[in-house]
Amino acid sequence: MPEIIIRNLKKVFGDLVAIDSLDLTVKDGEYLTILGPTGAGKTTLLRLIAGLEKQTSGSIHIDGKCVDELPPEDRMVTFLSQTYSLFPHMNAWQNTIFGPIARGWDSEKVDIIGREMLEMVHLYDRKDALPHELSGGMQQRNALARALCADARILLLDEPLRALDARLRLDLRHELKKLVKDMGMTAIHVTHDQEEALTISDRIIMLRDGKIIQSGTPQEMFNKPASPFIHHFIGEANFMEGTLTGKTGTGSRLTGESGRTYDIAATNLEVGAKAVAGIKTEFTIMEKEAKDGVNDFPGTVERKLFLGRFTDFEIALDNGHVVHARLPSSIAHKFDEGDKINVHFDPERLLVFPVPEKGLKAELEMM
Amino acid sequence: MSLAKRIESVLSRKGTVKAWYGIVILFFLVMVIIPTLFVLSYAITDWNNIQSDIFTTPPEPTPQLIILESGNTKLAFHTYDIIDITIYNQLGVVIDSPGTVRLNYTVFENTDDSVKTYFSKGDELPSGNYNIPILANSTHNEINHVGTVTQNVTMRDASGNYLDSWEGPLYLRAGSARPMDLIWDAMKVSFVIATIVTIIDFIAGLPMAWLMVRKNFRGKKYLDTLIDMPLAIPTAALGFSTALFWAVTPKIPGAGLGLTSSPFILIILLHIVFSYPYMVRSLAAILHEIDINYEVAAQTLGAPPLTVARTITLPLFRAGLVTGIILCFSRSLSETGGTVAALAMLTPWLSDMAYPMQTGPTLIGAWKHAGGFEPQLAFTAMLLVLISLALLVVVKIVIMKFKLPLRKVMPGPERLLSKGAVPKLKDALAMIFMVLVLLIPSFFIFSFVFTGEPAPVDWGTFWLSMGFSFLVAGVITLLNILFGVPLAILIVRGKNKMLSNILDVLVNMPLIVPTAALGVSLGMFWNSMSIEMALFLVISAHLAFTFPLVVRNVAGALEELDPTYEETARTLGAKPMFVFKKIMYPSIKFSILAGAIMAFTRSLGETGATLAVVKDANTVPVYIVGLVKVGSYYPAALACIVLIAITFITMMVMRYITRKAER
Amino acid sequence: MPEIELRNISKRFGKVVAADQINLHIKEGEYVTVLGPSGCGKTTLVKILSGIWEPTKGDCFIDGKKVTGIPTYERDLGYIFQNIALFPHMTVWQNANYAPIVKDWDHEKGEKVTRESLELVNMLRRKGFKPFELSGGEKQKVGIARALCSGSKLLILDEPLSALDARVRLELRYEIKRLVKERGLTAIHVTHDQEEAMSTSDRIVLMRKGRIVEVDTPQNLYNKPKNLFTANFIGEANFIEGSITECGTGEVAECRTGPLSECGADECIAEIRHKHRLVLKNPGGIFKMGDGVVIMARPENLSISVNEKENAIKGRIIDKIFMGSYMRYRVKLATQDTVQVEVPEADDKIFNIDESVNVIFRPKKLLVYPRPRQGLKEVLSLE
Repeated sequence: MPEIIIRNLKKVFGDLVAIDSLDLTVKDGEYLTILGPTGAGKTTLLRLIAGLEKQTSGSIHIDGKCVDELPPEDRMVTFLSQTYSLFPHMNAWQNTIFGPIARGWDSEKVDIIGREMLEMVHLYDRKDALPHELSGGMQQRNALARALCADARILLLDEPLRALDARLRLDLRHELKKLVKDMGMTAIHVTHDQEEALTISDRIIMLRDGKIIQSGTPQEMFNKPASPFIHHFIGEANFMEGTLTGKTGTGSRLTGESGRTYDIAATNLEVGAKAVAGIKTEFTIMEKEAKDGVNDFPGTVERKLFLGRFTDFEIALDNGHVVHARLPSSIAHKFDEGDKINVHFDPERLLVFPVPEKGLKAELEMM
Repeated sequence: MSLAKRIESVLSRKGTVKAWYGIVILFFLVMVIIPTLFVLSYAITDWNNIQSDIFTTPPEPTPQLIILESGNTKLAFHTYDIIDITIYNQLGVVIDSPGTVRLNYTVFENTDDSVKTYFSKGDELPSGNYNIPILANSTHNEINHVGTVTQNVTMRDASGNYLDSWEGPLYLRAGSARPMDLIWDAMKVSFVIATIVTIIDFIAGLPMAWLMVRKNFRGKKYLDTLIDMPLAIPTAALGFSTALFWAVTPKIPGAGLGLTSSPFILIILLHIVFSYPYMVRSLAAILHEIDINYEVAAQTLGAPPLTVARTITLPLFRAGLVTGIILCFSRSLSETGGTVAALAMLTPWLSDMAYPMQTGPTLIGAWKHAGGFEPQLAFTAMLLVLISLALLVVVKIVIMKFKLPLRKVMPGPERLLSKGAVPKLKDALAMIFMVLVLLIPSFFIFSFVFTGEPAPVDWGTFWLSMGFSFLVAGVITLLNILFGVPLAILIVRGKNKMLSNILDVLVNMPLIVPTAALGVSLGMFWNSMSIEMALFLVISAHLAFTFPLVVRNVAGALEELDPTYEETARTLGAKPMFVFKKIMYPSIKFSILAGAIMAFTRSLGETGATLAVVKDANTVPVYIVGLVKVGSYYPAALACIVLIAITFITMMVMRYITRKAER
Repeated sequence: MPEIELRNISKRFGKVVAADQINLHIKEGEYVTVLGPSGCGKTTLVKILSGIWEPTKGDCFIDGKKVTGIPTYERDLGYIFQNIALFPHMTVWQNANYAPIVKDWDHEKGEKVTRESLELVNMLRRKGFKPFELSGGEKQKVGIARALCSGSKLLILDEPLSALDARVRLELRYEIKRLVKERGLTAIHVTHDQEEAMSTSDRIVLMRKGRIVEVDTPQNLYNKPKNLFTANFIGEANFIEGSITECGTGEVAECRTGPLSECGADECIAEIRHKHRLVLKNPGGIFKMGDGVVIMARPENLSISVNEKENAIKGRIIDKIFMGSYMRYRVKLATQDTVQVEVPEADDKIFNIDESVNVIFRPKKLLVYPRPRQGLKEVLSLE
């Protein structure tokens, strides 16, 4: 069964540590996404697994077999770039049967399996078309048929949807996952798009500076981020900095510099410790009527941005803090720019983190 | 597993691949690089020879009485320095020496009613080389050794007919120049010409490149082909054709425009013809790569086209400029056959040692032809190699450091110049330049077939040399493909970046080193191994200077080819050999073909290296130059045309195949 | 003050028609986005407006002045590029300062404008950097500052965010909108990203195959698209084909374009596959009995229940997708149509795959369109 086990993997390019002592196990049939900003080492990791780069140290096992010394063609792993690398001078049929031909299978078998695969992705009637004559979706299907035909059980996808139009991407990501699952393949998908990662994966690995900083299901990554960076990268978040000043019934209390206090979720941090609390903009509640309860802050709607399904708000709190909120558009019409409103943070959703080493601002730097 | 698969798997083994690359690198080093640079070792092993033969001033010669008699063709002259005095067909008196002779004597012409003095009696001649041909159009030519007896020599009557006889002895005191001075003069001439040619190429080539890349117009496709035309013509033929068009050609007056009798101007005009296409191509290539959005961005910010060109495009241009400059410069520096042909057309009565102007390569050719000048040859070749390599570095540094003034903006004038008639005029001038300086001189040779006086052609010798040329070109093309393609793959896709970079630099070297110098070096290398077979020497010389062509072409195509295709193929289960066959080869096959054809035609047209490596090789261009030198223009023209036709057909076939494949 | 008008613009490249008789009027100070799939002609439009290309037919007017034939550098506009196109041999400062220099402004004025523009995008601190030392987002900020320095009131944004990472994209689009509004610029923004278009613009021009499909505010295009392609392109949607089997008795509304829900008539009933029926509120009078229709519903306007509900169709959940603050279910209906339904996570009832459910179609939230002659698939196609 194709299971990938990576132990203590390290890759150094000159002075740059691209992958740093990385451990990872990918289960059979899993759809794993590697998420991270540009330069995190995502693509390098894929290339190491495929055998296109040689690691500086550490080992990779596929199917219980060490593949460190195996050339790419013997690893039974298929690497697909952004554009799927369909060979431009070959038609859909020739592309599909490339693997079997390369491995020298007998031609009858090749014909049968090639046809079966192309029919499976509904491309048999376009088998004479060259890649550029196929639409984006067809190219994706052709590439998957080719991979399966080559007997690869593991797919490595390097930003497979990046080159597509935004709207088309939404459709094709569902189709991609469905095909991969239908074909029973294991997939590792690299992306910098958090929404894509959330919606397509069984499990997400968050990579930063060559290290895995969190791994988990989309729900875990979204609801229980391990650091402010992840909190802000997967969905957007508002942050408050301060000192832990006490415990509440179920959680803790944070006091900011200007003396305002927040009730926040439970934490292991000691009272007196510096901390950062963050809440996703989706869970930042806007209310028409003024309130004076716990975690209630009056403010003014500065900007309103319609996004379709959702509407984003930028709110200047009277205490000088600027926060963002995201509401379903169906209720967003209640608020307009200039409105005086009340902002409420649910203590349960206000997650706590220790203050990052380089400071909050550097931690959240995306560019 | 089928047999083919089994072979493929063996070939794909790491060991096999490594061994193959090893052989390729070895071949490259032994056949190309080491022989090319071998001449440098001469400075160490034979320094004494250089010292004694080149840097030492020869002793003053004693005056000699030479008695010229009708019908004599050659007179031995027994001083140390002067080799012989040759009378060609009673055309004139020619003093042959290692290069030209530096003489102190007076020349004047005594007609019936006046005395026309060329060099006054008692004058010190300005330093330089003076070949004193017996001048035309006079009844009496008198050559006076300063302060000695005058003797009448009758050469040609007023209507230009050559006379059969003359009277009496001729006194000369001749001393040859120091070989070092000859070499130095030739170097100066070579570099000055190359510099001027490159500058003109750049000025005239830039608007043309701009036109080709940034503008769309009808007939652009044809213009594209026209620019390359001169490349299809062997330079020997170009030299002949260009001289015919521009120069005063004493043997066939009135054949062309007859505008100049200056060898300097003629050679510049000639060198422009075959270097201009390289400049336009390099500039166009880099222009193509500069994202047009930079220019558009500047325009949206309010910069008129001229300002955009000056502040945005030109500064981004440098890399291409370096390539263009180096290509043009080294082509001009390297050219031999055409230059010799043109010089021979200007002064048909002179032998190749005696041309009033010599370039480095022609000097090498003449010395090699005369035989026995090994230290001189080696030293000249060495200088050419070193200077051209140094040049490579200097040009790169200078161009990259050079800053265009950005802050100085002349919006008013530049705006004005960007509009209306000025840009159109610029385009028109670029076109006129191309037609007048490139195309017409290149093809003027065809007119000669109709206007020239027919003469019998020795077709036997011609076809023999043709066969020799084709054999050489064929063999080197095959070797180029066999070893050039793997080397290109190694350079572009090699895992060891250091090795790749070093190979990349080395591979360009034979492209920069003048071919005559390369020939000298190669000849010495193989002679030192006691290999003196003419065919082998010519093949190895041609291999060395054509090798970069295939490698460069294929490497260029490989750089364009996205490596993810190969990587994907590997992960789909393809062995390296299979990847090469199915993925890489289909994408680079036309570049291989293009490189091969370039190598083939360059080999067919090469004179300098051939002359320098073996004394009497028998390739077509050498044959043509030989015919031009002895004044057999008609056969030379026919031979040129046949050679052009064959080269042309080869190129057209290539174009046809590539175009078809692109569709 | 820039006011833009495109009159009857057509552009052909050989046989390809990139723009086909485009008419468009943009008011002063308006932020208009030209949206559409790749190859729809949206970039052609702004290239013609900025004078980089000449139209085959038609004219552009800036401030009522015909600009056809006037070269780009005299059109006075700021242009922001997809590939950013910062001059690689110049520093951040020199890039931004380029327009003042070539326009030969007074030295002090030029310096002042450059400083202000760079400060505005918070890049003054990087003024000595060369472009290759900047990240993608920073580069585009300088690109924006450079365009602002031209002093023009008209800003053209040609896919300014496409080359950037998803997250950086989000941050920059707010930045751009803020700058445009603060400076009172007229902006034309080209993109293929519907969310980007909705979040930045006052009005969206949706294009397809060289023609304008629909022009309206983001809210109207999302909530009341007049066209099936619009409905699909601007946000995801479910489409179900059917035909009218019962008409209400209300008045026949005079509404010949757009969805029927805009017409103030009575309800009617459509029959969809396998004899299922849906009640449609406010169908207009242009439908007669037996007319083919396409019913459109956004995923957030459908809901799921395990219990039988009115106007609901049975189905089976085939997939569920976590979307952060909500869940999306894919349900295979008994009609064989697959629909997507979004459920706020706050609805604590979590459904499971293979569970049988009822998908509720709230009549008021359904939009109805005549069934297109060339087929639904063709009309919706994104490529």
